[in-house]
Amino acid sequence: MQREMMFRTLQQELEQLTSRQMAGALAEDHLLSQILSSSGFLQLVLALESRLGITVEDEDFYEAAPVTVGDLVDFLQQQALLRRSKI
Amino acid sequence: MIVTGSSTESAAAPVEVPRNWRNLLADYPHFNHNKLPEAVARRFSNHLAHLPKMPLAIARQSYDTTNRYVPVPDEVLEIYRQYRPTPLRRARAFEKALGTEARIYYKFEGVNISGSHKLNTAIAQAYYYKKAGVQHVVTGTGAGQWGSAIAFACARFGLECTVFMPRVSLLQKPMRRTMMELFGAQLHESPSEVTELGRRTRSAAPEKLGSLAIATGEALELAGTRERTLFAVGSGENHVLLHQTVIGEEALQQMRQIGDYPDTIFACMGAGSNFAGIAFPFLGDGAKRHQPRLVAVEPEGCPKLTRGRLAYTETDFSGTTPIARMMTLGSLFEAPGIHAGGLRYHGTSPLLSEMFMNGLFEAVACPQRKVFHYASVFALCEGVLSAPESAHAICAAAEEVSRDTARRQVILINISGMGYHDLSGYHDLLTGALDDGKASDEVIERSLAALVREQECYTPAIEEAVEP
Repeated sequence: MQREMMFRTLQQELEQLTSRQMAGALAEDHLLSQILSSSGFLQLVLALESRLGITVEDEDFYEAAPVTVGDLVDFLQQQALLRRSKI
Repeated sequence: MIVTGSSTESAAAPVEVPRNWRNLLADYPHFNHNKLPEAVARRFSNHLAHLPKMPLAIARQSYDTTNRYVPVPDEVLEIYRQYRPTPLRRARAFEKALGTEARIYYKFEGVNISGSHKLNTAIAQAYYYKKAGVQHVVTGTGAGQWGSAIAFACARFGLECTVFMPRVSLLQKPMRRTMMELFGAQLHESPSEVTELGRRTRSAAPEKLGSLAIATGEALELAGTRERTLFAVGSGENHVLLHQTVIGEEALQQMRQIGDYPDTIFACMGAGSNFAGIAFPFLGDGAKRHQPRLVAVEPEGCPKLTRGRLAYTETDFSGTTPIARMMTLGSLFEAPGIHAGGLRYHGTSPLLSEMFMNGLFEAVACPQRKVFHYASVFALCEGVLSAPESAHAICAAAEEVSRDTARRQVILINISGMGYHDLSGYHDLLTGALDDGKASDEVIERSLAALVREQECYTPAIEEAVEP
């Protein structure tokens, strides 16, 4: 998946989770801690796992510790690639 | 008191240890409130505050609204088999002492090394934490049952363990420290000098009794400062309730084998794990003869269901964790120092709170003296010394059958733990030093007023974030 597509997927899931429209308001450098609490973030990751058909490994997740929206996009792209290479 | 009659009977033959946990969230997915107030996230200045405090495997269980049954991993099953199945017995001598026609059964979860049901989730959590690459587990414990259980489970899976326990509970049950330390855990009296929250709390009120909410806040703070360290919780969260359903799944098999089925199930209610553990499988039993009444029993010292409100509030004293919608007396509520330390938490699990508000179970509150009275009668009759927490279920069941002794009803009581660490409570009963441990109206009203003010802060964010 292209990076831009991944960003848009993340935005859609975030909108669904928070019931808020974010078109144009969400930027790569937005801090995740300013958008979601830890439970909300967990649910976002789980929703993205389901959408992308991947299972994120705990070790990778805590090592990456994404801080910004951009970090999370990068992390998910890596996870999707890793998954593809394993297949 | 003279006790006569054959005392107990067990199921005819041991049943199999359940291979699956029962996920009731799949039956009631609409009770999973997952829209979160945006403002809660905004209060944090720590850029890593959003990172989950638990492994993803456990989080997946917490939010699973699809699978009714979740397989117990083999490694967990292997340890379960060291102490399960736990006994389910008929309390014939207790029935006789009460002069009732009711058939009273009890499920006893105090037969493992930690002495309580908490080991059911501790083993599962330690397994998942280890698998996630965690090296150190930090937690808060109310009465020490959870602390002992997670200390043992961490030892079994080669994990480091640190526990914060309220000062009042440690004074009442000093041997809990020895037990946790025996299992290799490090124990801190809370409020402690180890964390900023502990130091701040001690300096504001040096005589503070401590509470699970403060101990949890301290554990969260410490977990945030160490590498490969995560926080673990022993009650309230969906995954904990899930792991405890091994109790009810087993009890279902045992009742079937005996050829009886409960009309009413009693279990004590702290944050809700032992109540859910016995109740969920019966609630979700597709083959049930009838729907048993489910009764949660709480102390008059912490009446969150009978006198609390369904509201958004903090789950810990530091405000580190996200707020949750639950039946609560408010996170600032500090219960009297009753012996049932595991029932002093200000709130109940969000899932159970929704179920309660939707009439799926009832709640009653019992005074401490009556709780210990019935627990001592039960001990003499059945040879089982109940933990003060579990004794609340005995008390409510005894009161119920005593109201109509001729009624031939079937009662099932979940006795979640043993009471050998709680002999000081029984001693107080014998010496007349025990009081009812009732929270004063003034304290409850003050805490509820603060809760109302808290809601006013959250309302705009909640309205924005939560779908109608």
